[in-house]
Amino acid sequence: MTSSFWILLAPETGLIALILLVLGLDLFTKLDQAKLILFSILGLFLLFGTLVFVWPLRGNALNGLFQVHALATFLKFIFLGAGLLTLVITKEFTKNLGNRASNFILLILLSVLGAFFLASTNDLISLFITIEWMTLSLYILTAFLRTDAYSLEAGTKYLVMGAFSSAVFLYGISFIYGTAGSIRFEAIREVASSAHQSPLFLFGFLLILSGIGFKIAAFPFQLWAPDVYQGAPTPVTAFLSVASKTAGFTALVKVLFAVIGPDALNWSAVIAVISGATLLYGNLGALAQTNMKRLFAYSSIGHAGYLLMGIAAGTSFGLQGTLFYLAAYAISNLTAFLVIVIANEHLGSGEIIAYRGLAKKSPFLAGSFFIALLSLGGIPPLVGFFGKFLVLQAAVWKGYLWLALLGAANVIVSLYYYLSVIKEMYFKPPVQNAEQIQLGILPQFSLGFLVASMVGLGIFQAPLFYFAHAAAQTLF
Amino acid sequence: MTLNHYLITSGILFAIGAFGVLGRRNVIIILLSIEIMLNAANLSFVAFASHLNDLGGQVISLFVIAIAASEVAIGLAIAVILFREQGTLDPEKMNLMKG
Repeated sequence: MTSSFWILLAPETGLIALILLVLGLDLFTKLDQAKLILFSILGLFLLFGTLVFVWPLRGNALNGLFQVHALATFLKFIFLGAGLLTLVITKEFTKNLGNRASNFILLILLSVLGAFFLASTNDLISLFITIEWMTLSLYILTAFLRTDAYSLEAGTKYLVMGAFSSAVFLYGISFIYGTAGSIRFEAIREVASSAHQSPLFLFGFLLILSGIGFKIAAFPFQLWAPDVYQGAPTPVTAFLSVASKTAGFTALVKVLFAVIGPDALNWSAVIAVISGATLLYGNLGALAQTNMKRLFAYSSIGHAGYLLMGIAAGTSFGLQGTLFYLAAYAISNLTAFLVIVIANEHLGSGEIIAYRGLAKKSPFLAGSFFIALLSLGGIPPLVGFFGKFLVLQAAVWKGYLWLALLGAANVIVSLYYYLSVIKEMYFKPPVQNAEQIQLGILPQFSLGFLVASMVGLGIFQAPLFYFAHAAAQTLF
Repeated sequence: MTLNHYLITSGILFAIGAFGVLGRRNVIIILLSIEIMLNAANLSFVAFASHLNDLGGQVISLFVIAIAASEVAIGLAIAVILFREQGTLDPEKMNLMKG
């Protein structure tokens, strides 16, 4: 079925309209910053409608550069959800942004727009440009608190490492272009599936993989992640750990499955080894952490290892597992960050020790954090468990038994540090004053909805399971 | 001048840029080195475009120039704030976070 340009680009057009509207309201009216955030949250919420609308559509626009299919729409759902919840998190963080909150939300919206185009790209150079589009906003956001030494340090490190990795990525694309004679996915795939590739093609492929490795913080390109996650403003850390990681995996899936093809070049074993090393680095590194955001930086490196496991399987089922895991991880991690931002504001500290006795100060907040941590750790019947189950099963079916065992062992390691946070919240008395934390309506509603979806999707996995199935099928 | 000459030049440029990023201790020099790396990729695109007789590669290099310009604009802005707040542009001095 082919549809016209404007129908296929409905979500993007809507988002551009929202960005212009927010910009206009900020420039020409004296609207309160808090109201502007609420307005953007409402706008993004309405955009879900356009995504539901384009879900059954298939087609090309912009001369084949822009593709609409189930995979693209699935990823756009994750990006939009991440953007929406990041704005909810930002709402709790406005006090630190002063009168610049409108700039902050505009940059987040622009980043989401870049991610939307990324999900639909069909050639290597627009893949590069959309990733840069997304990351350029994130450089500014990371260094946004310009009087805070941590934020500046994080911004500088992220900029240097990010720009370095994009240069490597681009240099790789130039060799693929030179040897395949095109940057279109289908044209390169024909070259990749032939028996003999030129060494330059393989070198280009290796450089592209390294560039993407930086974006998803996979071993051995993960060194920037803990510093950047810790120093960045908390809403940005939430966005980085979900949307930016999803963007990196979008690029990886496109390069491995659409450009190279699942059977060419034997990339599966390489990804399996990277997956195992990433798992070990993230989870063992997290054990020694005392800062909450840094703990989540390491734990998100560990989750990248599980996500890579499904890709390493190189099958439709593995890809489905990775997509399911991405959605489950996005829901659980954003819940955790919503709690972290509220708790950090009230406790005045981001150290894990400050969370002592949180259950007495706010049972609802602690309860949501409890569910989110168990879901991230992979405890049934929560949604995170089923994601882990799928990627482990895909690895076993592919014959990577060692990788599946390593993954199972890492579940136990990750439970150790997740449970130690729970121990601080529930079984230790509060350090200072034990006054109650009052929650606003918006965070209460969001946390309630997120907890309900973690439990609900964990018990009735079918909707998300078939949604991911349809998305994975588009590349096979 | 064959394709290989251009590719070797671009490889040398890329290596100079990479060593600059990893070895130099000034944020501005690091940004310049990243520019050198991006331009090495540009040279390689243009050389391949001429070799393949395909305009695509030259169009790509125009896009890359735009991306590189915006990256440097953000980088310099961060460098200015960094110098104003901390009085140094040495990345080795930035070691608040470890572990």
